[in-house]
Amino acid sequence: MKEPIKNYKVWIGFLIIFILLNPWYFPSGGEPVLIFGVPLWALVIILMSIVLSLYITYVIHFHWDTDEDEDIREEE
Amino acid sequence: MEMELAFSGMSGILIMLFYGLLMLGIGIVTYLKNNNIHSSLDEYYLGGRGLGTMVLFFTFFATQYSGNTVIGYSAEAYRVGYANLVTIPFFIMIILVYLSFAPRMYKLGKKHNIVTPVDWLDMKFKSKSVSILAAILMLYALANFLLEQLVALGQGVAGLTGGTVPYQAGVIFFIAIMIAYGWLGGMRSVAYTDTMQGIALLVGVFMLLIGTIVYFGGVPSAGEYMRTYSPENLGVPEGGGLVRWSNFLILVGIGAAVYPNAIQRIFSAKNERALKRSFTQMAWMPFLTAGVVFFIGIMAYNAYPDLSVAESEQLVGIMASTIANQNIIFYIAMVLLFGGIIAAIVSTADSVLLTFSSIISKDIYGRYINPEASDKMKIHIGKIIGVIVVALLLIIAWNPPGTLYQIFVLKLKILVQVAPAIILGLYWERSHSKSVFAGMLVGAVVAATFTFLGLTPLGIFSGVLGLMINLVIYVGGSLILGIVPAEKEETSLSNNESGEPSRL
Repeated sequence: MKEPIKNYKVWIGFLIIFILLNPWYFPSGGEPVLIFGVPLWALVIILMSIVLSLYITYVIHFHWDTDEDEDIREEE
Repeated sequence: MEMELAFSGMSGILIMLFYGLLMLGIGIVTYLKNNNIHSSLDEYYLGGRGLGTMVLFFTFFATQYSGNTVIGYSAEAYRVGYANLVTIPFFIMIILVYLSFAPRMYKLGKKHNIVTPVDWLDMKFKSKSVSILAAILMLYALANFLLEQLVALGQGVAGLTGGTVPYQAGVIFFIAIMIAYGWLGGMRSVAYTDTMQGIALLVGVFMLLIGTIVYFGGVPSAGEYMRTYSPENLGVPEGGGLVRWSNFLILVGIGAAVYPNAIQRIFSAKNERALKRSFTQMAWMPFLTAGVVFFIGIMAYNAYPDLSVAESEQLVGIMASTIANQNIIFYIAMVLLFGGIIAAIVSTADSVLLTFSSIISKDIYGRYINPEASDKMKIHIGKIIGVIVVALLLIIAWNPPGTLYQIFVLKLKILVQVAPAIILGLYWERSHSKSVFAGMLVGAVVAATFTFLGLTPLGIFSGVLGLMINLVIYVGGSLILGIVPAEKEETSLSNNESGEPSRL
């Protein structure tokens, strides 16, 4: 039986992603760097959002399995 | 926000009628196909705990994303610029918060036949004061949420029909249909119509995206316009903006995950696999909805780089109108967009109303007023109170009481105060009901007071501040008063010491 809450390593991952989802680590002021019209910092945040979705997908798939009996019932 | 569209009118009325009758049809078919819907609370409010992956996904989707996501968020993106990009991660955060409690909540719901989140709190804390306070906070937040949808529905109908139909008539038409299919099929018809409504919204938004790119220009040129007209909208959020950003992630992530209507969808899942699959899909939806809507707002700079705040409120209407005037295909596409927006509003409202009724049925009437009543009677009472509340909210929506209007916009800040009891209560055996109650009450009072006074110390949202105080009282009080149970509690699922990280 696997439950995401019981696995502290999963939450360390979430914490790191959460910290990087807040744009505190970009230099302030100055002319924004645009890539295809999007500021660089925004692209990094979008990338981190994708990382969060990927990580959620991974955790759901590999760290959440609390059903012993249901699989059997479905096979029937 | 009044929306006047050049293209609207007869075609708007036709699409409204079409969508309305389609929803009603789904309700009737559901009713005819399931003859024991009204036999038990489980059947009526949770669809017999039998929703499969696709329907479950769409009902999560349609409940979470409303018409406001399209209209309000694109206007906000236009006004604030990239600082509003936070809407993408905050919708993903909701799924992250689900992961902290949904797996166990689902198991317990199935094991103990839990119908509402208050049910769970009652089972866990066995405290009348905790249950009643939580029920009141939830009903209050749900009523506000419903009110917001009714106001949005009025605006959507006005935009779609260009005033051909007085918007009150349009609103009454959709509400009557919503109540009818809700009454006929309960959660099942709400979930099935959500599927149709969710698809309508997705189609509409994509049509708007394509139209925007084709007729206004893409993101690169919008970036240049922004650099010229409002370079501040390209900058990184700093100081207060940064605090606002992280507060949004926390408040929306936790608040939206503990919406009672969202929690009820966890109970409605057919099995764990369906729940897992719909959550996985939900984790990617923010890019297709909030993300698309955000960039539509940004691309508006191509055509209208210099709108005032009031004008920007009508952004989606203005853009849709311009796009619709290009050719017949986009004309139809934009009618579909507005139909989709209205469908999305209805699909959010229907689930809020159903959950509202369920708390009345199960937690207020069924627990304290007439515990002997049959399930049929409880469902009946829930339905009737639901309709009365909708009628009252309609009166407020049409005659907003000026000075007190603020009361009606407080929802997430209040609702988030039940999160510690719901989530922490699942895992922390030491949780003590008196501290839970005190934390919830003080948190709600602080959040409300600070909102009314307009105070945001250090830029922290009043809801987040209330939540912090709530947690301190909850945890502190439980440490002092709580007792660690010697034996395994019924809430733990395995033989492991609960709460301990035991497995990789």
